[in-house]
Amino acid sequence: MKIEAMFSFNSMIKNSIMAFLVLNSFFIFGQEFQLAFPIIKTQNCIFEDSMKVALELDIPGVKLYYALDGSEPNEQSMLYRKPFSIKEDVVLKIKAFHEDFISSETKSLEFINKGNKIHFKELTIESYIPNEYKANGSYTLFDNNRGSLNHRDGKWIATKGSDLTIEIVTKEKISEGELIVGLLKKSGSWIFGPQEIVVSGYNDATNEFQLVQSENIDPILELDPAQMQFAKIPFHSDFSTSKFKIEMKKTEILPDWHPGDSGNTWIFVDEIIIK
Amino acid sequence: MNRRNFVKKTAAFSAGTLSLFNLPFIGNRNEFKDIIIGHGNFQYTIDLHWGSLNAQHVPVKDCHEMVQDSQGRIILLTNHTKNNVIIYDKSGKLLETWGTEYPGAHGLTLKNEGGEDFLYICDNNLHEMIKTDIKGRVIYRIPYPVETGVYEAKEKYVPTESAIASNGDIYIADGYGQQYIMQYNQKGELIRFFGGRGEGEEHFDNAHGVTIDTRSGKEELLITARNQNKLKRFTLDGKLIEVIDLPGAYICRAVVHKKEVYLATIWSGDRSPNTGFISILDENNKLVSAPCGNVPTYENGKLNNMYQTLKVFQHPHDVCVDEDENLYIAQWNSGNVYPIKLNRV
Repeated sequence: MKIEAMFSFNSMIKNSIMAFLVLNSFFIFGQEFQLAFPIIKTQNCIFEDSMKVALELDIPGVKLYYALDGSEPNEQSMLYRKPFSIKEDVVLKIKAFHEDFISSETKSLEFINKGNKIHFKELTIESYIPNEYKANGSYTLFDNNRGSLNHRDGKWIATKGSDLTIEIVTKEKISEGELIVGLLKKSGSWIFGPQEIVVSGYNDATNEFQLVQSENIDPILELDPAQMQFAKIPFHSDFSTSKFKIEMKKTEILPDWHPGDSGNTWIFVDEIIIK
Repeated sequence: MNRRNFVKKTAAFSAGTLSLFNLPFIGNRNEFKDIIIGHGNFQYTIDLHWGSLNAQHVPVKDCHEMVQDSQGRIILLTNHTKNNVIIYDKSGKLLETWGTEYPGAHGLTLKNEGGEDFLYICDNNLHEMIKTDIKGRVIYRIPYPVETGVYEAKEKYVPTESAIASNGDIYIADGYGQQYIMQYNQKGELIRFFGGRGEGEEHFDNAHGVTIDTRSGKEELLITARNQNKLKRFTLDGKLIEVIDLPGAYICRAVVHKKEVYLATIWSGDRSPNTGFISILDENNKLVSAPCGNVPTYENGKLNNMYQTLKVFQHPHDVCVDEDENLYIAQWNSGNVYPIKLNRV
């Protein structure tokens, strides 16, 4: 009787240990995997009439949900079935779901309709640009071609540790409009973007540049992934002009969470539009 | 010890996770599927804990490269100077470690010479290549190639990989430096150097890996131009033969096994962090399987853009292929993880 009890006790220990091992290995190693970012396939996110967009994540059984109203996509959002057209300025947000995997992070891309843009006669970069980020020179900034998150893709104009100043001569004189600047933010690569953008217009009456509008740009946060965005700055002045100066002020102080310790922050710009 | 105590102890032990006696849960284990990754003839299940070790005793930083020796053992090179070289058996059991002097341990190539295995280690921080025997005894070093006249200081030379031809010639890729490929004879005398930065296809941006390819029946070089997403075939005397475009695939080094070429792909798409996958090329150098990447498709002979689909890998840096075509994946900058094994199905 006693021996029998001992025996079952032993086997119970054994089973328990086995169960414990199974459970533990299950929790530690039976890991769930996350879907990668879905892919947004489009020719260009700056367009004149409309732009076709296709979404993709090449995993059988995946469901892609998207939103065009700025909201975070969830399984109640629009389900992607086939390519669609975008006609307005929108932020497309897309997220992948799958019953076997953790849903993806949200990917977003901002589209700009520049159908009613103001044409440029001249665009001059006044600041010093390091050789590796000269891209196609000033043309880069109005070639309708966005850069990518790979800041070395040859589509970005950049300054290190200094402001980025640009002068633009428009074909016609205007007194109001909206300045749109394509920016990259990537804290891991010290690309903080400008902390402020100042728009001045040349006043023929006074023969000098006069402040038209200045706008603070939201600082990058610690958990922000690398992202491309458009800064939109509406402006109007009490005089008409065709000559503008755009000063992008560098981020002066690195936030506390960033490992860097100097003011050598980068500004990356790929496109400038005035509507 | 009585039963009551035992139950108490185990309960305390497992607190915070699940009760040990929640047996139905264990029964449900079958509901969990084995994930299969890859395409066509090259599909795999994932063994995440194959090479896991006690990080207190056998730590790793970046796991840069892996090779299999002639005894079938799997050899890992890490830049952790407590144990630069970690040797496993194929089941993932630790056999031995050595090496404390290679802070920039990066490239690992094995060559069997007259029945004995030798290792060739490229060190980014020491700016040189070191040949050792399989126990870690240094045979010789090839320092930075001052004789080329193109290096003003040894720091400009950052070798990432080596390859050894059958005649004993040694090729070293300066993948993080000036992008040249050095060719030495077996005495360590520089024969020539080629590549370097530049616009033409014979030049490199991140000439990260160099490999001897014998699949055609004669020896050729496969050199990765990682930032260009290209694999470049060269003759042994440095003439460009062919460029293989792999758009979206940041390939580290080619590993030739039977008819295929395996390439750890450290980033994909727009080079965002943690977007790696594995690339497998067939005998015609066409991408046929991309574990954790999209299905490779060609249009008019051109590969469509590659991207990561499932986050199993962060930054794969090298692939080791064993005789059963199972893969061992070493990863750079991935939270000090040990290698992951992929079992071919």
